[in-house]
Amino acid sequence: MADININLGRMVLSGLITLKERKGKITLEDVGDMFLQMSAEHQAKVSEHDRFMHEEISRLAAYIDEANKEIFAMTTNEKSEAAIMDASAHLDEVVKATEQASNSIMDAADKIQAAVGGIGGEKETAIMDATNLIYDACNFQDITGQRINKVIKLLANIEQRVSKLNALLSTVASEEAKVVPMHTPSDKDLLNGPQLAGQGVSQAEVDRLFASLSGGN
Amino acid sequence: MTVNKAMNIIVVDDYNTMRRIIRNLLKQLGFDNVDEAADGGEALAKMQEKAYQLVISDWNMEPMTGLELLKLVRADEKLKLTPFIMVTAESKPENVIAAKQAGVSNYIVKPFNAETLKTKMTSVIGEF
Repeated sequence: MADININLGRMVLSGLITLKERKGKITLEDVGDMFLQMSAEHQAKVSEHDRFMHEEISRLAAYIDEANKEIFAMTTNEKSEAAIMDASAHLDEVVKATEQASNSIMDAADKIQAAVGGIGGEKETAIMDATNLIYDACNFQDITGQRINKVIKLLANIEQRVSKLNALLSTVASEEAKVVPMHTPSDKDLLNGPQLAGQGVSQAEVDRLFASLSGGN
Repeated sequence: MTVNKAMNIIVVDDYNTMRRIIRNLLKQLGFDNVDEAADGGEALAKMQEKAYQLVISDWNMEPMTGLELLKLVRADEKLKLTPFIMVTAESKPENVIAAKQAGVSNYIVKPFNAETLKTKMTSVIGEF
């Protein structure tokens, strides 16, 4: 707001100087005309800016809507098609499917371990080690599940905000933007994982930080 | 200090898959007395009913997160000394600091293996 006032002051001053140079003497009528002209120019700029913003947000809303339809159209299982109404539900199905698959894999690993238990020797050790590796590999489901759930929340949030913004601009295009209240971080704001490859913090770095916080151990 | 492998451990994670993985890792390390909880609330209720010598908890759970569980455990006169390992994909420094400030005993970044779990458990409960 302070910037706008400073800019307005500069514009008025500059207009008065130009007027003085051109006419030598400035009347009250001249000042009135100058303000009318400035106001018309300012309105034109604001309207153009708002129109551009509105168009961009409308395009974004249309894009999200189209993406939702495309993801919906990708559903191949006719039985579940009716249940999957949007992208979020579709992604949720992916999480459930991978969880189901992981459990099936681990069930099989359990059966193998039970079958070889007690045979002894190198064979048992080798088979047990291999099935433990299968278990470890199933970690993927937890990590991918968390990532997908974050995308689901992100999509829902963007869609909701764009929709609200679009509705607002459609009805009150010239209304001044409201000040967004300060966000107070909560415990849940700290939920930012899973880390992306090469972008997160490694176990070694976490250990160093943890040790420094503990006073070294 | 000798660790009693018959100790009671509770694994808290909203993903059944992850609970199974951790349970299997604990089995590999010789710990068989393992209970499970799907969120912080369920874990807290179980901890009020039975004495656990170690909590291994995920962070990212609803409705009660692992961090909230940790804070409640540390605030409970009966439970406050229970060793608590956070096993999570939340690995940014601010996460580690928040967990440490809340009194976490150690912190494991997912994905991890039996060796990492053993190292962290050793630092919390002693050699085994």
